[in-house]
Amino acid sequence: MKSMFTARDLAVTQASVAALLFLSIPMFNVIGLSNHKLEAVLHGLGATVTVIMSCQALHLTYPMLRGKKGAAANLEWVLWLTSLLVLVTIALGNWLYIPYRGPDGPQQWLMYHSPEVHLIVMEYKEFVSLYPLPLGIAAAFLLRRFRHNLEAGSTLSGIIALLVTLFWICLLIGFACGIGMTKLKMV
Amino acid sequence: MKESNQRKTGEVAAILMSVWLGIVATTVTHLWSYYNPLQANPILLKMGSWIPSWWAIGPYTGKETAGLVVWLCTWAILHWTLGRKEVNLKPWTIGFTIAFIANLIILWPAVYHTILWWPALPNTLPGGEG
Repeated sequence: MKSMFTARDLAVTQASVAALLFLSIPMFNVIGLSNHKLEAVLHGLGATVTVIMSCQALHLTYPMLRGKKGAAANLEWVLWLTSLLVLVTIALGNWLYIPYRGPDGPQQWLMYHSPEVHLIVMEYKEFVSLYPLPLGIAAAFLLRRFRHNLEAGSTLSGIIALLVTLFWICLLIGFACGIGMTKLKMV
Repeated sequence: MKESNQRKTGEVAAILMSVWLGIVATTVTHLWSYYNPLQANPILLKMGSWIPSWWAIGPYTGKETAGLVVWLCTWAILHWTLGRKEVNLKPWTIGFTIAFIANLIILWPAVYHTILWWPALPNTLPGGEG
């Protein structure tokens, strides 16, 4: 007997459930103890959406590397859109940074109680989280310029995949450090 | 199609170089602001003052601005110079990867604080302030 569902059905189910449940993580802040809920929830949602979309972008590099028709164009628009959302999330992060470093804010609290959280984790993530913006735009721009003569397994498709991988890694560093910090001290 | 065949691999090298230089600009300004805050922070605040609420966000706005400006300016310059040449992409890819990882390592605060110094903690000095 034939299976009732295809591999594609399972993949779509996994992606939908993962997206829905991951998006619920920053939403917990709505019923949480944050003093700056709007900034915190929006930045958290932005971070979650961009990480999910960068996973999709990374998956789309595989057909691009194999030279599948239309894969480069597909990857390109996902990268433009994700880069735009990364820019929005950076702006929201700047907004959230105001109460973070303000008087009696988490920065001060952490410096007294657990300085390495601010001195190492925050000081690292605030810069690494900026890198996805140029990386994503670089990869999207290269796809726009070269997608018509992109050959399977070429050096150029490898460079685009490298940029997308670094894009994803840097987003995930920011995401993991950000979630880790909110576990210790809310803004 | 015809037009895209004329694209030069130098464009790719220009992109890799400008992305890395923009990233390094944020690292360099950050280290500068740690090494000499009295000199660096007023300049960084001035550079970041196009960002709304720059006065509350702090010198970080200047570091972001430095990264953005260096990235976009070097991209424009390199696109019109290096971008018109054919280059061998292999050394560029390897160089970019190594340089990118080197930046990630030097930016890890435990590394540069060990090379420079660790900041005084607020509750470890007589008088209470750091």
